[in-house]
Amino acid sequence: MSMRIILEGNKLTKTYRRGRSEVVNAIQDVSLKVYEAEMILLYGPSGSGKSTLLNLLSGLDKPTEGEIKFMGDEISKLSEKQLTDFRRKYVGFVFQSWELIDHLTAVENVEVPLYPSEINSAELRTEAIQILRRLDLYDREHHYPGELSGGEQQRVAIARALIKTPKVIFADEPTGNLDETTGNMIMRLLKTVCRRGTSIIIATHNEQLKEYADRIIRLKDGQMGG
Amino acid sequence: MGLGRVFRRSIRFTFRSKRRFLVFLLIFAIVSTIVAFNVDSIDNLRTDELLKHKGVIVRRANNATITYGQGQALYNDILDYTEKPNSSVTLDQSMMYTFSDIDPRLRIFNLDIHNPWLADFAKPSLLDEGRYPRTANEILVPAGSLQHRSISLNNESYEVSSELAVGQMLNFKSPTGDEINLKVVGTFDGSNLGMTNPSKQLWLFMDQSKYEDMLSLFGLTQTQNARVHQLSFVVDGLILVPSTYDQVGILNQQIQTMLEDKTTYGDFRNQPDSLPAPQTKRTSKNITVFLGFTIIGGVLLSTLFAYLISRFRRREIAILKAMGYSHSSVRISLIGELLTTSFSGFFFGLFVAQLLLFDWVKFDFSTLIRLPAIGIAFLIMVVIAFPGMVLTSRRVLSVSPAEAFRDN
Repeated sequence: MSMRIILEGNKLTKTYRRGRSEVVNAIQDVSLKVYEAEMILLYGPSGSGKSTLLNLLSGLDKPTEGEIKFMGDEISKLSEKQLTDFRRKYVGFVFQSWELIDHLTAVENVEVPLYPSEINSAELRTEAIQILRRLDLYDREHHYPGELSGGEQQRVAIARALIKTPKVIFADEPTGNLDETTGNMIMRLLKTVCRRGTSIIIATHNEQLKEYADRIIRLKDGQMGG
Repeated sequence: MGLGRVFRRSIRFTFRSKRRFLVFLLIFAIVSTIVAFNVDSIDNLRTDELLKHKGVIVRRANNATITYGQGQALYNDILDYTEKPNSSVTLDQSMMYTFSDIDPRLRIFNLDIHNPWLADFAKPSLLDEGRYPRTANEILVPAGSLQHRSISLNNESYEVSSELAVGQMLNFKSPTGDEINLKVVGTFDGSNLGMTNPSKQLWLFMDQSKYEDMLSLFGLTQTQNARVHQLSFVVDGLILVPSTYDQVGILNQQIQTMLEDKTTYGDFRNQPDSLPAPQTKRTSKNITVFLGFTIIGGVLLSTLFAYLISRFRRREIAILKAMGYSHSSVRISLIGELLTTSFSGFFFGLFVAQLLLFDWVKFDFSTLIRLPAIGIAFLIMVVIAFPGMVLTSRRVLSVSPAEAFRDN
């Protein structure tokens, strides 16, 4: 494993206000480092702050306290527009329910992140098909999500994350809606992606995924532990 | 290139989400049809029915002879009255309609082809066939007009006649060899003119300039030969505005007073009975209210559309934003969908309305909603869609990309 730090969170705290007076500490004093081509598991029960931490590290939300650095540059103080640029250039997402767009074919779903880019449409299509084939989705390019199995849909979602060649992929319960066999297949796939140089941070409460992780960060009540 | 592609794809993908597209297409189609019908009704008021709404007509009493001098006197006095500094009536348009008998078989009438609705006896909506004259040498004839030719055969004189048809050319020659060519471009229902036996005399209706040419071709003059059959006055002001109707009432009253002097003006009668002002006023009020409701309803609809679209697509928007879509990219994608749905709805609604309005038996296109009305209705739809677009943009901006990850 390379020792180059890709992402770093220092003393991250995120508080929310619930109602008028109640303050909730979703994340409290969390620090972590993510290395290049490393797979990290954020492990914890529901409500432990995994999603909040994913939001902070991926630039979807800003910490109340602490700082986040991406390849040495602080991103926690960037403007909304700069954060959007950051996510577009460096970050890929894989969601629990795949979140594919129903009325788009598999290949169009993969292309979606790069529609606003300057890449030529023909090149984009070639690239999307190549990625789908790399993930064993031969002859499924023009199928709609409703015509694909759960495992196939999750592979399309991974292809959608990969098309931007991101530095980091954030995955939220990537096997949550899959049976065990398909879930293992998806994890092996993510592991392969990771070995090719992409760091992957997975939020899960599924203990079986631990065997794929290079490192496990346990979260409980918004704090690191275990 | 990037934003253009987002826009193009959003248009293409709109048709793919079939149920959502069809529901909104139908709603927009219904609203568009109502707007188009309304605008068409108002357009009718603006043209054909304008005289009825904001005009006053003075006609000769049944077949009375009004000399040009008498008609001109009344016409000038009414204009003088409206031009007084303290007059509460301002005129927009006016016209004196005259006719002249060229010979016992031919009578010519003047028209203002640029303001056809001023002639309630020969306005475009009375056309039976053909179209309204656009140039001075184009004329109208009452439907069923016969043209006469005298033929001498074996020293006996015969009259032959045939019906004048649209497209026919009429040639008039003066004794000195000057000639005027006129083309029949339309026939109209002449019953408003009290024509009882059109076969006795040929009546031709032409623009004022050609009318004067015809008189001069046959050595006649307005002052000596022309007779007046109608004066039309249209007051200034907008239909649908009450003060316009007040002006019509005041002018009517004034003319009524003037017409008591029959020796100066001849046997005229104004037409207060033909102007059911309260009724037309009520019609215009109804249309205003209906149009108001349509616009308010349309704005509410597009607002609802914006609300529903951003609600239906909230999660999708959050994911697009998480993937790095800027506000403008997401906004353009939603605007693409809104425009596609609303314009498709507009044209679909219009198409269905035109199919329903078309007279399939007579194959008559005049019953269709006309192009200017379609254009105005389209503009109204754009205006109606605008608040929806603004609201859609605002709602899109409020969606946080953090919603992409559900809290587990």
